[in-house]
Amino acid sequence: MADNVIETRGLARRFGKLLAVNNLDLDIPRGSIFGFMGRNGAGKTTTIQMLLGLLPMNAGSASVLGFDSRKHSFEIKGRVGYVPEKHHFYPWMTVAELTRFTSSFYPTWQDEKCSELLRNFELDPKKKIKELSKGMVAKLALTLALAHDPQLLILDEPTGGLDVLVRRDFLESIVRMIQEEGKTVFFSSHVLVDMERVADEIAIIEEGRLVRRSTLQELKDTVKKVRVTFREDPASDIRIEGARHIARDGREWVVTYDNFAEDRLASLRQLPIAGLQVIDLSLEDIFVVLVGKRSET
Amino acid sequence: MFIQIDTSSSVPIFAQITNQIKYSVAMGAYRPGDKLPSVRDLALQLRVNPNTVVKAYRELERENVVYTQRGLGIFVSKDAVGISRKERKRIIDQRLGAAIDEAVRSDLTESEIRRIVESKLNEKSKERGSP
Repeated sequence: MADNVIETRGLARRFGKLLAVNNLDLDIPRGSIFGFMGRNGAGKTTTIQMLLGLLPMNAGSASVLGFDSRKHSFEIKGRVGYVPEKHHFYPWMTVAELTRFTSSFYPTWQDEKCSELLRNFELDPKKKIKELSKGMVAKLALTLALAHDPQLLILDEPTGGLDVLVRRDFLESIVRMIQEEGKTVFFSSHVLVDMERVADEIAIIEEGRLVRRSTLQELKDTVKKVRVTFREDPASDIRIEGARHIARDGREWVVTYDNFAEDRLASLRQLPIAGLQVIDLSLEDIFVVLVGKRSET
Repeated sequence: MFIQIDTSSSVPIFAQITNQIKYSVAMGAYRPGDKLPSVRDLALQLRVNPNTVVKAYRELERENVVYTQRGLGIFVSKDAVGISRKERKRIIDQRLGAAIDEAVRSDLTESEIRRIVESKLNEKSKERGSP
């Protein structure tokens, strides 16, 4: 058996006419930091909620840590550290009250671990939730998600609305957690720099469908632009093999590939060209190529 | 006009613009007399501050790569190809120089460096199918 902590097959969810998640197959291997990337409304949160059994699926199946998401939501929630996109803490509670309240839901809760996390994050147990800054609330949410020592951490847009320094703190905690053997982090984000720093592998979804799944290096190696300069005005019917998109500006064309390899250059050299320039793309530009409309890339 | 902006690069954005325009001119994509996009259009296309584009064009004008015709626009100048080629050479000179500096600092001998350069050149000529 492959050691996957999350598996979905043909997962689908519809809201009225909108197919929010569309036939999604996803395997997340144990021990990885896995980035789930997509634009607003691409289906990230819907997928996560179905994984945890918080939202019924319309079709397909999902399992988390071997438990069926449809039937065993309770078991899954007890074993997964989950940080939702929006926090719903009682504003009148103190940090200490909230941690005590939350601990009652988890048989594996570890008080020492919780206090240690609060100390590391410089969270004052006596403070009321409503007195905390956004960054503090995010750290508190992460503390609550980690204190029961979960095998799997699921984070939905964990760094949304956080400043650079708090984001670094946050990512550092994630990295520290993964260093404990066998732990897995599955996090969704549209903040690409975060992905770039920590993710082993990423999956990109758009309109509920899986667009690409690979390591960052593979993405960077295979999604590229090539600037092609023709010696004279080229015929507009020149075909370029494997191109995803071609931007033409007189003698200068820019060919975008989502499956680039060195042999693409060899075939470009067959054309009457003055020069070729391969352009490496940032993760942000790669994302635009893969999820943007073809005419925009 | 195609320009790729890399915001994580240490090269300032206006210099990324001038370098790439010079590349296009050096390669013959833009030729003397060709009109460049307006400041407004280029700024919109690249999603950068129009002042940055103005700065890039001013720099190109100072180097005689382009000239402005009041009311008509910005055009590639007569001498632009020579200047741009020289500039390309200068950039490549600088990059190879930096690579060689690094090689020397890494205690590679002169003949080792030569061998690396030779084999890279051989690779390239094989790829192109020319001797």
